[in-house]
Amino acid sequence: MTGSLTMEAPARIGDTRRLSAGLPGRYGRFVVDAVDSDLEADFRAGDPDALRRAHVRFGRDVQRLCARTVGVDDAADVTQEAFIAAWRTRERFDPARGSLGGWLVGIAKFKAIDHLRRRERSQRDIPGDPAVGDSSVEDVAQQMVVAAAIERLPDRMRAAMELAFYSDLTHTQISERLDAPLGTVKSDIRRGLARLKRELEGLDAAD
Amino acid sequence: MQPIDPDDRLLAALRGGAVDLDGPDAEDLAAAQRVGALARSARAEDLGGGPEMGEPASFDAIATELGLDQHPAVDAVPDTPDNSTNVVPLASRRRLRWMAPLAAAAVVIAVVGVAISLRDASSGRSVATAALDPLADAGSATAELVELDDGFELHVELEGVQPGDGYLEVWLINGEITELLSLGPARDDGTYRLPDGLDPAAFPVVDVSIEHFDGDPTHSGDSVFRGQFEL
Repeated sequence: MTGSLTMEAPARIGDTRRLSAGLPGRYGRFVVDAVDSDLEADFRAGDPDALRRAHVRFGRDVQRLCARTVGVDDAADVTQEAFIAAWRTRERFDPARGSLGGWLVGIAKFKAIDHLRRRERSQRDIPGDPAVGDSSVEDVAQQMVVAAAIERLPDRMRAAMELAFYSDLTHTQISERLDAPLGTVKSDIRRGLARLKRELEGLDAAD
Repeated sequence: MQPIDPDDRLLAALRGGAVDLDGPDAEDLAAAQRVGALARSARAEDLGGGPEMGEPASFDAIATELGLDQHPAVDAVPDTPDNSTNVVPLASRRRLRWMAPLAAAAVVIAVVGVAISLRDASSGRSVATAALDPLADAGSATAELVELDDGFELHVELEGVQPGDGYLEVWLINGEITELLSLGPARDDGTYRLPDGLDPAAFPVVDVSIEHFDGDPTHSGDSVFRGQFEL
């Protein structure tokens, strides 16, 4: 995963690294959790640096949603509006109700809808493409939150989830394909699902 | 007819199979169905690879609109009058974030043992203790897992290792040595609250590493102490 010139690429969880003293290892999901749970707490507590960190971590996902709904030309503006609104209403973010990443996309969703309505009103006399409806913006937002969250999963968990979603392999076949224990595959699927669910809950909680 | 095994039911629901909403795991299955449907439609719409997003939104513009000071709040470092014109690179921002509590770490490490032994014994129940092996052939360390009313704490007492121009970080590692949990930089009081819901038995290995101010949150690979609880 490479970052753009002005955004730091988040640490790629799941990159293979060797621990010292000869122990091979990979960086599992809890490094992500530690990073994100700290970020969520700091954001909620009003640490301004947490907004910058949130922008580094989630700005790309937010801007992709904006690009998909309001178009590439206006995506940066709507993204900025979203982060500004998110900060001004940060007391409404509750980690218990869902993830910060999902919540930010939810804020952006509302800004995108507002933007589209303003655009539609100003273009009423101009024939052109029909405005993207609210319900389709909602659908796109939900799909993108899930897609982005899958991308963030540790490699092995992501591989298990992809086989779970897109193939008809049994747990045993997935275990063989990934060369991972059966119990690990089952656990990865449950944990992966829990993570994705939390991202969607964040989106649902935005208002 | 749904599968009998709960994991098989979950997999079937993920793939769009019918869900028994009266069953005990109805909520999990409904969530699985929803997530699975979204994953498949996202893939059909080719949203996973990332649509074009255009020119990245500038954080400077956001910070300016909000009137945010772009430098991290650090108790030990007073703002200088011309801060607003300086852009501090990310790596040194991390340095500023962690330096304040750790600036005295080199001195405090030898004192940690005393601080721990003065802790009120009634503040928790000791679940397990472990001596940590000094992997750099220097120093000594012990770890204790303490159960509180509402969670767990790890106490790490160490001495005899200087982090040089880096800092010490404390980790928990699972038994298969495949997953790490960072508990953050070594603290003066050697006390680390475990994340709520974490099962300590799943992460019995305690590791202390030397990390560098390189903006990289992953384990450096440079462990100085490691030991394992019997849980």
